[in-house]
Amino acid sequence: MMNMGPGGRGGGPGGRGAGRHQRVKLTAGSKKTAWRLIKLVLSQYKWSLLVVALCIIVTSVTTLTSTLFTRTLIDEYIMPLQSQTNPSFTPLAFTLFKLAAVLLVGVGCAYLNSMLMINVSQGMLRRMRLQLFEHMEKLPLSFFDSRAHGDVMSVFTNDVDTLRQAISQSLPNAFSSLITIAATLSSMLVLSWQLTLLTIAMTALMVFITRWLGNISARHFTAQQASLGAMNGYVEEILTGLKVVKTFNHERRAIEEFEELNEALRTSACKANQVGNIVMPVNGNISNLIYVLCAAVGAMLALGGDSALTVGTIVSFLTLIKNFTQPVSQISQQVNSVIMSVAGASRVFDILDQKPESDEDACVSLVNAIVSDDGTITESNERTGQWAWKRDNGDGTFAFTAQRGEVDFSGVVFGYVPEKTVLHGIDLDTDAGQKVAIVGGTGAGKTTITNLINRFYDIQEGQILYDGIDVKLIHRGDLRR
Amino acid sequence: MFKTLFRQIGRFKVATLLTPVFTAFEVVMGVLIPYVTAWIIDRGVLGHDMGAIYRYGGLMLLLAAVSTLMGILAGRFSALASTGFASNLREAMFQNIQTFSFTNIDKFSTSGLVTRMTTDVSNLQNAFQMLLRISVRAPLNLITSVLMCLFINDEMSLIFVVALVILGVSLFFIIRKTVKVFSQVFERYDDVNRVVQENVAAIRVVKAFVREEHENRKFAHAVEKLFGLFVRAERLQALNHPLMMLVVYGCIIAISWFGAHLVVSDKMSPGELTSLFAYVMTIMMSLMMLSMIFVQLTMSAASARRISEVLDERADITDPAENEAVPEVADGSVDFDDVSFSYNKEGTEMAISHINLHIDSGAMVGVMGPTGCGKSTLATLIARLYDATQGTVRVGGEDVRRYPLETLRDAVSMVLQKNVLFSGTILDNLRWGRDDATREECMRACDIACATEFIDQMDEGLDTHLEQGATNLSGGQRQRLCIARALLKHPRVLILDDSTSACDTATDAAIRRALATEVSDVTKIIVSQRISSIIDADMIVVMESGRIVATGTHNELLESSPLYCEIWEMQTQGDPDFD
Repeated sequence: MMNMGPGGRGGGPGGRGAGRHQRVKLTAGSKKTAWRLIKLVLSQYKWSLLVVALCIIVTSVTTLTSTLFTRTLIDEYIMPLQSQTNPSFTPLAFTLFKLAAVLLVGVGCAYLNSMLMINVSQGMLRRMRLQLFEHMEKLPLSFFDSRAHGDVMSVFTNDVDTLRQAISQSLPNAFSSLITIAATLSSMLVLSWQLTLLTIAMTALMVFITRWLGNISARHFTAQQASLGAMNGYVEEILTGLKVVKTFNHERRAIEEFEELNEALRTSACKANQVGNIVMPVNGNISNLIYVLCAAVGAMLALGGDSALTVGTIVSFLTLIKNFTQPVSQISQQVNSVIMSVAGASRVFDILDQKPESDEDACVSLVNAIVSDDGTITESNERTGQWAWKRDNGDGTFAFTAQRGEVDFSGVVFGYVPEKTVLHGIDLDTDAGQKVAIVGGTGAGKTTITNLINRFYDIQEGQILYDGIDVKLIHRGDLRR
Repeated sequence: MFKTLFRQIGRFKVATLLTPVFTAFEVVMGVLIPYVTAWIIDRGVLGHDMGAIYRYGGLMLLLAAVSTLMGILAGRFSALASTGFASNLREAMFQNIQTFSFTNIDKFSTSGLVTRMTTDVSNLQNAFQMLLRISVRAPLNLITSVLMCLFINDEMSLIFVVALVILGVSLFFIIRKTVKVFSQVFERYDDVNRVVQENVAAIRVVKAFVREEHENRKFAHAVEKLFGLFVRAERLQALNHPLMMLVVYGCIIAISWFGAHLVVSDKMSPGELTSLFAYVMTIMMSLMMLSMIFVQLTMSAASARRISEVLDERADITDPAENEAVPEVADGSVDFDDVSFSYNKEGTEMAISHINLHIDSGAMVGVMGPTGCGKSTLATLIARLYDATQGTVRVGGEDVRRYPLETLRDAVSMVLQKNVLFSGTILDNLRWGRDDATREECMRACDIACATEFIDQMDEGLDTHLEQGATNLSGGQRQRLCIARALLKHPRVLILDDSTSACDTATDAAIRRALATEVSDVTKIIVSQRISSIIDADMIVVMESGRIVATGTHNELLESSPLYCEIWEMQTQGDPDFD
C-alpha cells in the first residue's frame, strides 16, 4: 500500500550518466532479462514465494467476500427482515461472526505475505549487492577504463533500487491484481453475464487509453532523460572546473549555457508529468462511466423482467465494478515502471556477465621457501624471507623456482583497445635487482609497460616472463605481491 | 529553510495556487458521485423507475466529466508548478555557486554539489508535486466524506469516529518509529555507496595491493548492516496495511449490523447503506495517503536542508561598492605589504605569514621552495581567489579589493595547478580566454605556449574535439593549452602555478623564451619546484614554511641562500626522481 523508502533518494535521476537514453519499450532482450530475474528469485525463494502466492489468493478472496457481502446483507437479511413484523437479528449476528473470522484470516495472510516479501526482496538485494561487488573486484582494469565511474556507481544505487521495487512491489502487486481481476470477474459472471460483457468492453477502452497515454508520456520521458543527462553532464563538468571558471570570469557564460539546458529539462519534464497526470483522473472517471452504464442497463434488464437480476444483484455488481477496474488500471499503469526496473536489472546483469580477469591457466603461486645450500628449494609454512615460485605440474608434483625478480619482454604487442596498439613488439631483458629506467616523450607508453608487468592488462601478442615464467601462468594476487 | 526554498516558486506561483483549487473541485465531484449512485439505486433500481436512472445517471456522468476535466487541469498545473519549482531551484543554486569564492568552493565537494543539484532537487520536485496534489486531496476527501456520512446518518458516523481514532493513533506511532529507522537506513546507504565509490575510483590501488578480499569483507559488512536496518524499517512499515484492513473490516461489520437495524426500521435506505460502504474506503484511503505524505515529507527534509545550505551560502569575496571601484589596472606591478593568510577563518594556522614583496611590471619572477611552503597560496592571493587575512595585496599600485573582480581577473591571468579543460573543440577552450579571439590570435597564443606543434599534427587542428577533462590529450599537452588559454586574455600579470611540470625540460625552456620575448610587457610569475624552470628569472623568491627566506637572481642565491643551494645540488646531481 505504502510506497516509500529510498527509492526516492537513490532512485533519483542524479546518478545516470550523461546522455543515456532510457528506452521504455519491451524488447526481446528485456523479456529475457525479466525471465532471468524471475528465475533467479524463484530459485532462491521457492517456498517463501509459494506461501506468498497462497496468501495473496486468500487475501484477494476475503477482500472479495467483504465486497460481495453487501448483496447477502440486503437480499438475504434486510429485505426479508423488512417484511417481518417482529424481525429477529440473531441469524445476521451469526453470519457477521463468520464473516469476521474469514476477514481475520485475510488480514493474517496479508501480514504474513508482506513479512515474507520483505525477506525475499531484501535478501535478494543483499545477494545482488554482494555478488555485484565481488564480481566487480575481479573485473579487469579495461572494464573500468571503458566506462564512467558515475555509471558503475549508478548500477549499485539506482539500478539495484529499481530491482527492490520490482521484486517487493511491482511483481507481487501485478500477481495480486491478476488474482483479484480473475476472482472479481468470475463473481461478476455469476451475477450477470450481460453486465460483465459491458464492463469488459468498457475496461478495454480504459486499458487502451492508458496505453496510449503511456506511450506519449514514454516519448516525453525519453526526452526528459536525455535533457537530464545533458544537464547533469554540464553541471558536473562546470563544477569540476569551477576554479577555472572563476579565474576566467566565465560565470555569466556558464549561467547562460546552464539556463538553456535547464529550461529544456523543465519543458520536457513538465510534458512528461502532465501526460502522466492525466491517466489517474481519466481512469477513475471511466470507472464511474461504467458504473452508470451498468446501473442503467441492469435496471432496464431487471425492469424488463429478467428474473435472474434482483435488486441486490445489481447493487453488488455495482460495488464489484471498482474492484475490477482498479487492478486493471493499476496493472496498465505499472507496465512502465516494470519496464524500467527490467532495464535496471539488465544493467546489473550486464556487469555480472562481464568476464573477470581469468586465473584459469594459472598454475604458479608464490610461496615462502627455504633454499638449502645445494640449491634445492623446499616450501615452508613460515615467513622465511625467501620466496619461490611453486609450479603445479598437474600430476601432483610441484616444481620450485627461486623468486629473483627478472622481467623479460619478448615481442610484446599491446593496445588498450585492440584496434589501436600502443606498444609494437617490445623486447626487453632485465636482470634481478637491476634498476631500470623507462624514458620517453609524453604518450610514448612508459606507464603502459609497468601496467603490463603486473598484468593490469593482458597483452595481445608476445610474452612477458617473470623469472622465466610467463606471467599468464602466475596467480594475479601472487604476481602483484 | 522553507522560506528560502518556497521563494524559488517564482513565476510558477499561479500554477502552484491553481493546483489545489482544481484538486478541490475534483475531490468534491468525487465525493458527490457515491451520493448520486445512492439515488440511482434507491429511486431508480429499487423504485423501478427508468426515468430516475437516466436522470441521475446523466447527472453522475456530468459530475464525472467535470471531475475528469478538473483532474486533468490539476495534473497539468501541478506538473507545471513542480517542474518549474525544480528548475528554479537548480538555477538559483547554479547562480549562487557561480558567485562562490574559492573558500566557499572548498567547503562543498564537487560531487556533493552535483548531488544537490540533481538527486536532491528531483526529490523535492516529487515531494512538491505530492504536496500540491495529495495534501489537498486527502484531507478534503476525509472531511467531505465524513460530512457526507453525517448527512446520510449521524448515528452511523460514530463508527467512523471510533475507527479514525484507532487508526490515526496507531499510524502515528508506527510512522514515528518508521521514519526514525529509515533515516538510519539512509546513513547505511551512504556507507555502502562510499565503499563502492572508493573501489571504483581506486581499483588500480586495490588490485596492485591485492586487497580484493579485504574490500569484499568491508563491503559485506556495510551491506549486512543495511540489510538488518532495512528489514526492521520495512517490517514496521508492513504493519500499516493489515492495520488498515483490520479497521476497514471492523467498519464493514459494524455498518452491516447497525445499518441492518436502521434499514429494517426504515431510518435509512439500502442505497444509503451502500454509499456508506463506499465512504468507508474513501476515508481510510485518505488517511493512509496522509500518513504517506507525512513520511515522504520527512524523508525529503534532508534534501531540502542540503539544497538550502547551498542557497544560503554567501560568497565571502565580493565586488567593491560601485562608487569606490577602480575601473582599470594601471600596470603589471605586484606588491605584498605584510601579508598573512590562513585557510581557516579562525586564522590559527597561517599558510603564509608576513610577506613583503615588490615585483616590477613586466618582470619574470620565479617562486620556489619545498612542497607546502605556501608558493601557490602566494600566487592565488594576487588574483584575489582568496582574501588576505592580514595585510594588503596590490596590483598596479591599488589594493586588489578595490577592483571589480572581473577587471582584476581579466588583468591577472592564472594557470592553476589543477587545471581543467572542458569538452568542446580546442578553439572553444581557448576562447575561454577571450570570446572574440580570432583563429589567428589563438594560433599565436599556441605558438608562444609551444602547443602549435601537436595541434598541427591533429587531423582537425584547432577544431579537434576534446573529451571532458581533455582525457584524449597527454598531461603536457593539456598544460600547454592551458597556458595558451591564459595568454589570450592579454593579461597584465600571468601566473603559472606549476604549469609546465608535465612538459619536458626543452619544451619548458622554449615556452619561457617565447614568454620573455613575445609578451615582454606582461609580468610573469612562475611557481615551480624545478629550478631549471626559473633559472633565468629576473628575480627568484625562495620560500619555506610560509615565509620568504631569500630573494635574488640564480647566481646571487647560490651565494646567499643555503636552502637554494641545497635544492640546486639535489636537482642537478642527485638521483633522478621516480615519477
